[in-house]
Amino acid sequence: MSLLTAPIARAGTVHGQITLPVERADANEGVWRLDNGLLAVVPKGADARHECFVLLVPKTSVKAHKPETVTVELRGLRLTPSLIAATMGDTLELHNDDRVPHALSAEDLLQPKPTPPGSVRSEVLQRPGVYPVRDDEVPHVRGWLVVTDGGSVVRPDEHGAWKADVSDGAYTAKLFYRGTFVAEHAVDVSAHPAEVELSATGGHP
Amino acid sequence: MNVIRVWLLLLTVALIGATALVVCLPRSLVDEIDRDSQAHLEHSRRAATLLLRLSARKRIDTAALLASDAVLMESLDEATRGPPDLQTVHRTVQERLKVFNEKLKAELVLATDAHGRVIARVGVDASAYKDDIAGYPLVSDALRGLRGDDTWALGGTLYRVVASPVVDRDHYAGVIVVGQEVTTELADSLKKELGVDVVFLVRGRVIASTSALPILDELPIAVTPAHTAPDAAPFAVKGYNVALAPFAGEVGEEAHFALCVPRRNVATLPGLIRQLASSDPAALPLPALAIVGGGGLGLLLFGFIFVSLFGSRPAARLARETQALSRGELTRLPDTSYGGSLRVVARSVNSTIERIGGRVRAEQRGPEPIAVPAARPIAAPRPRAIAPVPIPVPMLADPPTTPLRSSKLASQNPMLQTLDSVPAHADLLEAEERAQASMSSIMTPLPPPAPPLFTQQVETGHAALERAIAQMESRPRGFEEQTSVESPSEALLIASSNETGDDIEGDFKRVYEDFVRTRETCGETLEGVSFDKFVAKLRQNRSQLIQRYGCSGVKFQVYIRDGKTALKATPMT
Repeated sequence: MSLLTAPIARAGTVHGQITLPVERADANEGVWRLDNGLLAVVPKGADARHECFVLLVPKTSVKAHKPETVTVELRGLRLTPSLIAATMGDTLELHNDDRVPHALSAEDLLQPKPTPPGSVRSEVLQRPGVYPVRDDEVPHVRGWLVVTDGGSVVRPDEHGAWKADVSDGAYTAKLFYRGTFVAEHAVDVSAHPAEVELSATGGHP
Repeated sequence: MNVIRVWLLLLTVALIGATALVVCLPRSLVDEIDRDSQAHLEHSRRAATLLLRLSARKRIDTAALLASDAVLMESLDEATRGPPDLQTVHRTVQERLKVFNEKLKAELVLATDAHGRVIARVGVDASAYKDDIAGYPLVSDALRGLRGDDTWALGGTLYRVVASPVVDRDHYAGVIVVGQEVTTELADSLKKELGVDVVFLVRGRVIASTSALPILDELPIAVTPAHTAPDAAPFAVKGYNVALAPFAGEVGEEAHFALCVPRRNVATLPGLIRQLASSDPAALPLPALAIVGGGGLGLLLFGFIFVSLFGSRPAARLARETQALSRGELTRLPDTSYGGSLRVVARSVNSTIERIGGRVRAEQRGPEPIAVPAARPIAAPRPRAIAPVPIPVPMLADPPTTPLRSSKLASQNPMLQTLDSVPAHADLLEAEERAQASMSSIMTPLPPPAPPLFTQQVETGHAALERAIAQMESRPRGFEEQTSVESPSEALLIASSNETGDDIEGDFKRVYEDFVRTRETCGETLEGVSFDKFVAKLRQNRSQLIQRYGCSGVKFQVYIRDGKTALKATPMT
C-alpha cells in the first residue's frame, strides 16, 4: 500500500494509538455458527489493519500530488486491502488472483466491470470521496475506497498503533473507520515527536 | 296509493340491498380473503425460514460426520504441512469425498487444508483444487473451529452450503464443505410443508419454482427493494399474493425465495359465468340462471304493471275526468271506479259540486214558501211563533257591498238586484267564493261580476227616502221567485209584535222619528224630508206590499248601514 505524503522539507514524527470498538455481530444473521465440540474455537481478533487508517491532512497548502498506482488484490476470495486509500488522480489496479471472476463496483466511481481470473483492471480515480466497494460476483467481497484530494494515509498495525514521518507543520489527524471519518485531532509536527490518540468507539456508521 | 308506496319502498330497499350485496360484499370478501391470504403468507414465510434453518442444521451434522473421517483428517493435515506431492493427497481426499457423496447426493463437496486451500472437490469443478477460498466467511469461521451454514451463488447457481472443521487431535487440519443446489426439488418440498408455491430468485432471475406459475416473468420485475426487507408485507403480482424473504447468508441481498398464493376471486355471478364459460361451458347452470334472471325480470315487470294499474293510470284518468268536469262534459266524477285515495278525491269533488249546486238551486228556487198559505190569514201578533225560524222576507236594504260574482244568480233573483244585501246573501257569496277557490279546476269560470246595482246610498234625506221607496216599488212581483231568506232581528220582531191596525199611524210617526233621528246621528242632512211626505210614501208602499204579498201588515224599520240611514220594509203575516 502506498503512503501518500507531501514532500518532506524537515521531517518530524507523529505517532499514536487507535482504539476500536468491540466487534459487532456478523451482519449475516440467520445462519448457524456452532462450536465443534472437540477443540476450542480460535477467537476472531479485530485486526486494525483491515478496519481503519489515519489520514494526516496538512493545514497549509501542499504541493501538487504526483499520481501513483494503488494496487489491490483479489485473492482467496478476499479484497486486500479492504480499505483502499488513494489520492485523486491515482490509478487503481485490481488484480484478480482468484479462480473465479470478480466484478468490483464503487457506486458511480467504478462501474461493475467483470475482472476475469488472472486479469488486472485499471481505473483512474478522478473524484474525491468515500465509496463502498462491492463485488457483484462474490457478495462477501466488500470494502471501502477513499479518494482524497491531499494528505498522507497512515495504516496502523494489527494492534492499532501507527507512526508516520512527515514534514514539520500543523496537521489534522482523521481516523477512518468503517465507511466514515469518525474522529479527528489537530497535531503540530516539529522536531519533537507528536503523539495522537484516536478512538473509534465514539461512534461509527 | 299506500300499497303503491309500500311496493315502491320494498322495491327500492330490495334494489339497494341487492346493489350493496353485489358491489360491497364481494369487495369486502376479496379484501378479507386477501388479508387472510397475506397473513397466511407471512406465517408461511416464517415457517419456511425455520424449515430452511432446520434443514441447514441437519446438513451441518452431516458435514460434521464427514469431517470426522480419519482418512480425511490425515490427508488434510498432510496437505496443510505442504507435501511434496499434493496431487496424491488430492486424489486421496477426492476419492474419500466421492464415497461419502454417494449417499449425500450433494452437488458441491469440497475439502480444504488448514489455510483454506481447496485440496479436492466432488461435483461442481471436480477437477479444480489448490485455490484459496478462505475468504468465504463460512470457511474462515470453520477454520477457526465453527460449524455453520451459508448460501453461495456460484455462476448463477444458488447453493445452500454447510461447513465443519476437520479436527486432527489438537489442531484444525482443514474444512469440509457440503453444498446443495437450490432446485425445484427444494421448492416442492417446501410446498409440501407449507401448501404454497415457492419461487427462488437470484439477482433478479428465477432459478427454480414449484410449478410453471404465470407470474414467473413478472415477479422479478415486480420485486422492489421494499419487498426484499425481511419483514416486508406481501404484495400482489398478477393475480397472486407474494411474500418475499431473503436467504440467510452472504447472498441474502441477492437471493430470495418467494411464497405465492393465487388471489381468490369471490364467486360473483358475472365472474362465475365468465370462469365457467371459459373453462367448462357445459357446467353453466343455465336453468338456475334462467330462474334467477327471469324471476328478477318478472318481478320488475310486475312492479311496473302494478304501479301502472294502481298508480299512474288512475291518476291520469282522474286528471282527464276532472278536466272533462271543468268543461261541463261531466256532471260528477265516477268515484266508485277509483280506489284508495283517488276515490276519496273523487268523492270530495262530487260532494263539493253537490254542495255548491244545492246552493245554486236554492238561489234559483228562491225562498221556501211560507209555511202558511198567503190566503190563510194569520193572526198578526204571532211573530214569536215564526221568529225563531228564518222567514223569507223581502227587504229593503242597502245594496251588497260585494257584488255578486254570478250574473246567473243575479239575473235569476231579482231581489238581489233590488234589495239591500242581507246576511243570507253574504253567506251564499262566501260559499260561492270558497267553492270557486277550491274547485276552480272543475267549475266553469263564472262570468265577470255584474256591475253593482246600487253604487251609492242616498246622499240626502229626500233622495234616500225616494230611493228606499222606489226600491220597495220595484220589488219583484213573484213572491216565490224574488224573495230571499233572512232572520228578522229581535228588535224587529218585538216591534212588529205591537203593530195593529189602529196603531199604523203611530208606527209611521215612530218610523219617521227614527228616520230623522238616525240621519241626525249619522250627520246626514234632513233637507227635503217632511213627515207628511214620508208617511205618505210609507203608507203607499205598505199598501202595495200588502196587496202584492197578501200579508197582514208591513213593518218598517230604520237602521244604519255603512254609516248611512237606511229603511227596511218587512211583510208581516
